[in-house]
Amino acid sequence: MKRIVNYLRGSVEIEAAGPFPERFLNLCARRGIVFWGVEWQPDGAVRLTVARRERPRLEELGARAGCTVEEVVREGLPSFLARFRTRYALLIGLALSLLAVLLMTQFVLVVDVSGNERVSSAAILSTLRRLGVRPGAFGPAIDVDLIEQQVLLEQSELSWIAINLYGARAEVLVRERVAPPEVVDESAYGDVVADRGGVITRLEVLDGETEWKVGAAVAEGDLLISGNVLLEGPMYSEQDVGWRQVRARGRVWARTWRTLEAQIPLEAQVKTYTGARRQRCFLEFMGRRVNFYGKSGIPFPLYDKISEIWSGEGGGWLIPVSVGRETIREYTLTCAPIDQAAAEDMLRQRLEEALRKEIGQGSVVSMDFSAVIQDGVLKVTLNAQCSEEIGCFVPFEKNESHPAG
Amino acid sequence: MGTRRKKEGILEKTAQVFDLPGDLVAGLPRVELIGAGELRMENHRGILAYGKEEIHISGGKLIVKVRGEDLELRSMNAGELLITGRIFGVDLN
Repeated sequence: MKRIVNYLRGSVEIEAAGPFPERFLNLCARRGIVFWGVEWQPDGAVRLTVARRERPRLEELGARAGCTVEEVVREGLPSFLARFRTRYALLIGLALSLLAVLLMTQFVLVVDVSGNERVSSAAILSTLRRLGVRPGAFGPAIDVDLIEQQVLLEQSELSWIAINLYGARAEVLVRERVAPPEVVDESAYGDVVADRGGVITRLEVLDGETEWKVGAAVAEGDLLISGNVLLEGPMYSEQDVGWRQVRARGRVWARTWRTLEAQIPLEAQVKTYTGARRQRCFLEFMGRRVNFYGKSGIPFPLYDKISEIWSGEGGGWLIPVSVGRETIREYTLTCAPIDQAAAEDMLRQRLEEALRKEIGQGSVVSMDFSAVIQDGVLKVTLNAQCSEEIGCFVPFEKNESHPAG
Repeated sequence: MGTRRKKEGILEKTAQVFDLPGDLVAGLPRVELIGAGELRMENHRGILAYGKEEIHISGGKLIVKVRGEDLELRSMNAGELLITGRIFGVDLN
C-alpha cells in the first residue's frame, strides 16, 4: 500500500555530499521530512529518497549542513506524466479523442425497440425516424415527451411508449393496446337465416321458432329460426294471443356443396440473365449514405438489383456504420412452358386451402378435382361436399323481407 | 548546554528515586530490539555516523553503536528512528 501511495505521490532520490552528511539526515528528521532508502556511498556521500513535494526544502537543509544536494532520479506517477509534457502531438491526439468521445455520446447511434409483438419494429422505427429519433440525431435536441405523444397518435395500436436516451443508445419501450372484445347487441331482435344452401343435418334452436326438420333442403336466404314467436291462445279458444318478438338463437348444421375454380397459363415468362452487370458500393454512417459511384442511372431496361449490407457489431450492439454493395444484373424475359403436373398440384393445393378457409370450423366430407386445358390455360375445378354451420343472425331491420305473422 | 545537562541529570535521578520511567520523565533514549533484524529507538539526538556495518546514534549522554550487516536506516524523524538489517550487537558508550 505504501508503495502505491509513494508511486502516486512521486518520489525523488537525492545524493547529499559533504563533510558531515549525517547532519543532513538529522536536519531532515528534525524538520519532519520523511525519507527512506538511505544508502551510504563509498565516497562518503549519502543517498536517500524523499517525497516529491519535499524536494524544494532540501536545498536549504543541505546548505545548513554544508552539503551539496543533487537529484539522482525521479520516480512515480507525476514524473511519468511529466515526460509527456513536451509531446504535443500525443497531447493533441488525446484531447481530440476525449473530445470525440464526449461529442459522440451526445449523438444517437443505436435505436433499440422492445416490448412489441403485433406492431413491427420496422413500423415503429420508421415513425421514430420521421419524428427525428434516428441514428445520427443530436440527443439533447430530441424532445422526448413530444415525440412520445406523436408516436402514440400515429401508431394507434400502441398504448404506451417511453424513449430513454442512454448516451449513444436510444432505448424505446412500447406497450401494445389490448383490443376491446367485440360487443354483441343482445337486445336486437331478429331471425336466423341460411347464408348458404344445403341439407340440414343438425338443428339446435335456443330461442325462437323453426319449421325445419333434419334432412330438409334449404336455399340461401331461407328463414331457419324465426324471431317472431306465436303466442297461442288457451285451449278451445279460437283466437291466438298474438306475436312476441325475440332474438332468434340457435345453430344449424347442413351438408353443403361448394365449387371452386383456379387457373394458370401453361406458359410463363422467365428471367434470363444476359451476363451484363454493374456493381457499386456505398457506406452508411449514422443514417447517412455516402455513394462511391458517380452516375446513379441504370443503363438496363430490365434488371434485378441485389443489395448486400455488412453492418458492424460490437458487444451485441449494432454499430451505426455499414458497408454495402449493389449488384445490378440485366435480364430479358422469355416464354417457357411450365410443368403441367406441378402446376396442377399447386392449383389443387391452393383450392383446398381456399376451401378450408371458406368453411372455417366446418369439415370437408369429400373432394373431387377435375382439370381441363383450354386456350393454353390450365383450369382446375374443385367440387367439395362439406359439413358446416349455415345459420346467420339477421336483425329485423335488415330482414324486412320476412314480415312477422 | 551545561544547564540542560544538569537538568537532565536531575530528572534522571528523580526517575530512579521515584521509580518512574526514565524515557518519559527524563527523555532518556529507549532502544527496542525486535529479533536480530529490527531496531527501534526513541528519544535519539541524531545520527553521528552511518554505514552498512555500523551506525552510531547519539542518545544524549551516551552513544548507541549498532553493529551488523546490510544495515539500513528505514525511517527517521525528530524523535524516532528505525534500523533494519542483520544486527549483531548494540554497544553503549
